[in-house]
Amino acid sequence: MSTIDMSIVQRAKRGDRAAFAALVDFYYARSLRFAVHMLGNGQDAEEAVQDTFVRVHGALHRYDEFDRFESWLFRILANRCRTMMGREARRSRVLVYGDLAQDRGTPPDVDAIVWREEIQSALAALPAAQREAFLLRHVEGLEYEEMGRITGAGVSALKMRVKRACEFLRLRLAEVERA
Amino acid sequence: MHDINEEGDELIGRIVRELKTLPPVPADATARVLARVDAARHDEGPGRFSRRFIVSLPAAIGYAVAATLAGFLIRGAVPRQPSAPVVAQSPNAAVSQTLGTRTTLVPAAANTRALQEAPIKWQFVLDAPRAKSVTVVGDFNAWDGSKTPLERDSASGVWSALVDVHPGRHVYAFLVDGKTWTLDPNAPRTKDLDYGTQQSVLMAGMP
Amino acid sequence: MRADRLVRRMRWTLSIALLVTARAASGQASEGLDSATAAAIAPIVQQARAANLPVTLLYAKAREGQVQRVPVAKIEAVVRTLADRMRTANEALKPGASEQELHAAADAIKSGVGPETLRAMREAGGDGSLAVPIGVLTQLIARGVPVERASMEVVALLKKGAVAKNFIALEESVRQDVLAGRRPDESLDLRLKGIIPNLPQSANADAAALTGSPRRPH
Repeated sequence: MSTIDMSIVQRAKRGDRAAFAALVDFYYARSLRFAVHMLGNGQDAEEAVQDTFVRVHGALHRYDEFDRFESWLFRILANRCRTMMGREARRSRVLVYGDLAQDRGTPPDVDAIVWREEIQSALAALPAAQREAFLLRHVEGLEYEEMGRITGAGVSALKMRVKRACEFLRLRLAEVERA
Repeated sequence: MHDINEEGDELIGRIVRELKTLPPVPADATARVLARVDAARHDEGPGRFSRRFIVSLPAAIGYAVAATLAGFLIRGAVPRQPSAPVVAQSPNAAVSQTLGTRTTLVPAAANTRALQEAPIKWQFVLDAPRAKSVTVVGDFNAWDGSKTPLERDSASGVWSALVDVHPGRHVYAFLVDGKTWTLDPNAPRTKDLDYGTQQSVLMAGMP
Repeated sequence: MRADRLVRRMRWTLSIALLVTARAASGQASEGLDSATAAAIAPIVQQARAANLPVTLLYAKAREGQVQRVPVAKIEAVVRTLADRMRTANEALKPGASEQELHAAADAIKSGVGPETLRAMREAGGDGSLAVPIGVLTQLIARGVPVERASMEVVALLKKGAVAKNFIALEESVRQDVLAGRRPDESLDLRLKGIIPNLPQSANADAAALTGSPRRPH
């Protein structure tokens, strides 16, 4: 995972609007990815991510560069997602983007889309804490210590959550794979 | 970077690969964030940004010098408020100027471009176990190999280095033992239309 | 007046700093050149500086020749041509081309790309940097795609909202295809089909986003 050039963060801290815009551009897709998988629908995810960046803007002056920037960002993002989950009943689970085959010139693959939806459905069946830990660890590639700072949970608890999440996903999706 | 799958599980690996796909981002996403930020700031009144100073002078100078060596305008302002700064500006400099409570970007397009063009780290690799020294020369280091020596991995004999390179197309070659012009076997090549020499090509993406 | 003193002090500090960095920067640049080459290109550099063009590119081109032991007269001719190309590029990429964009554009012009293409790219590309799209255009032409076709397609992609990573992916795909024996223009046809539907300004992309349904290939 590439990290943003810290000089952009520093400039954004100082009020440089273009630097902040560049920061948003840089992290938007990743943040959206996390939010979609956490929340299960694109609309909520979009709102959570927008909220997050507005908060980031407000809190940037407090970011002291001791944490890695994405760690700090994801703490805010994970918080927003948790709040959103607690707040309202889930809307219909619609994956907003159908074919995610990017720019490689490959035609859309219906099997791949079904597989993607099964994964999303399995993720949704996980308890939120396990889902969050799994995503932070395996999709975002964060270290357990960082995850601890992001979620407020202890490292061993997080390891357990990730392990349980893997077990569940394995069980649930091995079926689909065989089908 | 830890390996994707500490459980050593192929299925989990496949799931994670799928989940790692980045979604497309709506074209107006950033604009909407900025609009909400403005709205929030409007609500709270001139706050922390009213006393913000400009982007650091050394950074502004650095940008201006890199872009053009000439064409500086030292704009002297005799301010009403003691806090208004004097700023050096060149057409290509990415400078933000704060006067009173409003931040003006001068010029906005140059800012965006400059940030997009920030250098990334490109890895150069050459398998040359018998070489005594390897440097890379290219348009990104003014063909001066002394700035970018490759390091040899003692086990494999492979030479490598990470070099700052701006996004875009670049041409280069390796200089082995200070004298032998060597092309990169793993990169496309081109013939320089000016000097007629063969060169390797790389295309670097944005950060 | 306290304000006056502050302004004066800042202006003074700034001038010194600029003078020092400017001297250092130009010193570094010409340090790499032998005196004959430096002398030969000095008038070209001076003219370019006066026209607000980034002289580092000229120095780098001279060094390139020097490293390859090219005769001074040839280096001078090449640097002069580069300065001309940069002037053309600067005009076409108004307002305010960056050093990276000028570098890319000068190479593109060398490959046969016309200033009107660069102008169109600037118009279509908005606030974004054109360094990568121009570089990819040059590469496509180097691969054998005819200049007019490549130019047209790159402008069209920019109009549809393509960004750097789209261009990089296109170039890499075409490269693989050509290595595998496909004709460059056929490869371009094929790979554009894969990229265009995913671009923000494509009608297809909008439809798919709303319904979450798989996009039909076309």
